[in-house]
Amino acid sequence: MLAEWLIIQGIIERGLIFSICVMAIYITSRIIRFDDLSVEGSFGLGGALMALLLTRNLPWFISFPLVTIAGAIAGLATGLLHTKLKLNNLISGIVVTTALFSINLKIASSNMVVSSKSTIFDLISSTASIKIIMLIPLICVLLLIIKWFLNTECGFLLRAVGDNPQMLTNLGKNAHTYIIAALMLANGLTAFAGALFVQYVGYFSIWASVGILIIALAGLILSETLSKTFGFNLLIGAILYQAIIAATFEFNVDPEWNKLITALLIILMIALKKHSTLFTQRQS
Amino acid sequence: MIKFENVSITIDGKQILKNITCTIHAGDFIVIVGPNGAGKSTFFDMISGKRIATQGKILLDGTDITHLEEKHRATLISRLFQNPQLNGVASMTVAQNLALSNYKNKTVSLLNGMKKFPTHLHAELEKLNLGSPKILNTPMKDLSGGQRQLLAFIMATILPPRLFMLDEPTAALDPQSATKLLQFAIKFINEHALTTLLITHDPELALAIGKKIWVLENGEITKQFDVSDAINLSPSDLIGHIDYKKLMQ
Repeated sequence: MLAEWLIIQGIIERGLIFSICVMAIYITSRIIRFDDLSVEGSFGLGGALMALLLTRNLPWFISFPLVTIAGAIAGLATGLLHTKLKLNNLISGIVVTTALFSINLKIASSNMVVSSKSTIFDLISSTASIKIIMLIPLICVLLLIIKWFLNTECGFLLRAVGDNPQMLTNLGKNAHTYIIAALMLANGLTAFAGALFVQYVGYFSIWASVGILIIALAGLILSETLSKTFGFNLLIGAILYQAIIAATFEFNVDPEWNKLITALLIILMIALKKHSTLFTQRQS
Repeated sequence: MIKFENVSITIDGKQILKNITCTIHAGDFIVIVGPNGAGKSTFFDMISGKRIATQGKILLDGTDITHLEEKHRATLISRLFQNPQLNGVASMTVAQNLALSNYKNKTVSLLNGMKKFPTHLHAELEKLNLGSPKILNTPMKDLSGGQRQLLAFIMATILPPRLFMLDEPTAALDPQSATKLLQFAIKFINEHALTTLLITHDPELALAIGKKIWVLENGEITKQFDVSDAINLSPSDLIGHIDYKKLMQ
């Protein structure tokens, strides 16, 4: 019974951490309609920088804002490449992610252990099983802050820029400023998630960020089966994805197949979505 | 007053507008007609700043705005596009779109996005059957083409602009919706004495509503008519019209 609870707890904890990446992907791909690949590099950047700062004995509460700012700078780079150099969305993201891979290696090498350092999870208790109690309010507050922001005047402009950039120009605003702001927000969030993940597992690995984009995308697509709005569905989507991956362990599927399973899951969800749309259209 | 001095635009080596020299006076209601490819939309793009003139000068009340960025010109000029998608945010509700359009020339903050909702427009919206809570909470994309263009007109004129440009606003509408939009637009423009430019393919519309009519052909303003000329003009004097009787002969 305890073993089963520990599996469920792990699913929820990892789901909650990766739900931050789902929120980031929602902002880029659903709000500003910018397929941003740089979040993959930002997750690693957050992790690498957090590992370095913790090993240099900087407290985690100072490290978190620094890491988030670093992620936002990565988003700024992607945004500037796109808006100033007119690079395509995908190319801008690939260039930044590629550059960040080297930067992350230089920051923290391929592995860096931080398990002996004080982390955000020590705030409540040093007992490992208590992590979920820390993560639930943290992620819920983060989600509610972003949800509130999207309903402010700045948030309205962010929502408008993805749908109709001309609208911002009509209002005398600079559409590029809002595209860059959204990319900074998304990459800042992803770096925060990367930093949190390093504190959660107790070490940084350069390979941990590989495939983050697809994990977040899978979580987003699963969340959209519940609702297409920005809300708690994003958390549920991310947790559901972790549950599916955990189920493959239960069936003794070789973990090397995980990425293939994720890809097939995404294809399946998209195909089902198209099928149901066609079905609804035919019915109407 | 907007003055164009010898203005030209060349795109990919092709001259789209050629040495245009003309003046738009305050309070003018000018209808621009011309065949496809004459350069009408490029003329609007040049005024709004979407395209920068490659030659010549544009003066707004004596100030040179030839190289002023589009977003800065938007504080003075409003434009209603032919494509309703460019006039609003399809995924946001009607109320949110109205609030958003009231951000023009104002600094935005972290206040609630609906804070700037133009409550003074409630009566006007009610008159147009657009003021019910049901409509206000409907995403813009779910409205009919006519409703979208009416709302777009209201949004574009929340702050009366120094120059208002309508780019074939009825092109995608059925005759009833087009009539409703034009009736509302003409009344509003006259009441507020808005300086207005309107592009149309329809010479009969030009003759019916234009106080001045400019014919744009091959990148040049080839004819200019005044309201007093209109009674002596026929559609064929402008750009011609479809003669339905001849179609079956």
